[in-house]
Amino acid sequence: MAVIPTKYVNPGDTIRSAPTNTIYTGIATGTAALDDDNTRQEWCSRQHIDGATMVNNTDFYNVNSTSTMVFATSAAYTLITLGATPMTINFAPAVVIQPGEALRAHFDVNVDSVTYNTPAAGFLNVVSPQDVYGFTFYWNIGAGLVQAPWSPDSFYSISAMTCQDPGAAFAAASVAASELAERHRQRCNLSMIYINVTNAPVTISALQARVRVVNSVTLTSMTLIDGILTAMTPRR
Amino acid sequence: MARKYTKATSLASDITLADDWNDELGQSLSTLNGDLDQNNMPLEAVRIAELQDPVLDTGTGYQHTTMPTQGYFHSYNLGSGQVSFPQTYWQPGWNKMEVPLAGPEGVALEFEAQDGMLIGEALIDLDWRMSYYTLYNPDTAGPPPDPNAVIKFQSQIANFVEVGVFVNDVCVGRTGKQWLGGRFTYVVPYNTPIGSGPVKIDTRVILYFINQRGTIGFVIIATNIADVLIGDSILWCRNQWR
Repeated sequence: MAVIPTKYVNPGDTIRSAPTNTIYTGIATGTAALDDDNTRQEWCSRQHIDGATMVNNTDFYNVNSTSTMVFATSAAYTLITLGATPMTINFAPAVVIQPGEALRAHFDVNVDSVTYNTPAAGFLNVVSPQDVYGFTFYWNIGAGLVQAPWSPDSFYSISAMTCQDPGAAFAAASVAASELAERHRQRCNLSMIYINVTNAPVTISALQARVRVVNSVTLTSMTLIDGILTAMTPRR
Repeated sequence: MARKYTKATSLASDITLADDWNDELGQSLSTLNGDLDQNNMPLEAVRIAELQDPVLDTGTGYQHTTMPTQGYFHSYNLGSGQVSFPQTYWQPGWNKMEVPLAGPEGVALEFEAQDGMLIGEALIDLDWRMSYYTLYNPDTAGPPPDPNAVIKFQSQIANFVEVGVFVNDVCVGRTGKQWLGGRFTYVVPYNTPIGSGPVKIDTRVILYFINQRGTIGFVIIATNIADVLIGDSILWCRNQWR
């Protein structure tokens, strides 16, 4: 409602009740339906925003632990639990991501040591590389805990060993795998952003950080320590 | 200042003239009809319902949302496996990741920025295994490919990378030189002031490779320089303007 109608009175006219009441009715109707056509641009300052209801603040969630987890490895994504602290944020109450709004998440952890049996062939299995492990986010948006489709798989490796077979005829002459340096004490990162591009709110009740190895036969144990999982819900 | 005051109060038993009526009502209505300003509005009254709905823009590999106070822009390449970036495409200096990925998904963003700040992160999973050389020992046996005279040599010190984020071709975040002996997922945070206008953000990589030329007592008969493999990647940006 941008224009509230009025009728100007001409000089000499008697101001009568009917046109007066029409004007008053127009004002009553119009002021009940004011919109941005009735206001100047950029009228809304910080002081006009309701601070109590967190209109455009960013809610922040955090779980962290300096304890360790000895991960008897699995090729399936496994919840990271450092000491007695699972890397899980149970949102209470569940966060509601309105259409067009977002969730940001970040996780990092130290992989302190590993038990790794180097492949005898002198090269890795290209389909199932023996020295690779990875992280991802799981979430629960009403259908149980599943891998968040917007989460990257954040992969790392123990060694630099090639995945290429140098050639069957000469493979036995490759440098011994045991002579290759292994990477330990890696700080591993995982980051995700989710934007609700649907027309309906999405309710997230839990967010988890999980770990897996690609080949649990050769990479049999990992020690994880000092992890931090954070989530933010940017609003309008 | 949109607040208006009564110009002339009508006194009891006065006859209201047309000018009095028109002036008083006219100025109030002109304020209501598009001139309401900060001083007319109640404090601490704007809630989420009063804010404009976000405007979404989505397509292959990107999602953009523009909200009243900020915008989020997301480019992603997830779950499509590793893409090879072979040495024949390597450039000295910064390599735009749009080249090996054959598109912007996960490594480039374009949008119309508003005056404010850009804050974001690039994530990219890089896998660069050791290269190896096939060497021939001329002091033994016959000519190659005599297996008794040939060995493989894996070069484990050669691979370094640096990952950077560029905003309109200006580097705003970088990892520094990192040893990429194997596979590693880099997360590069960045932030920069930005003016209003079109903006392009992209992820780039420097590849440091030492091409070893020989080994004492051996002749190199083949060089196998490992490809760089690119896994999942995302690039997101928050444009904060109020």
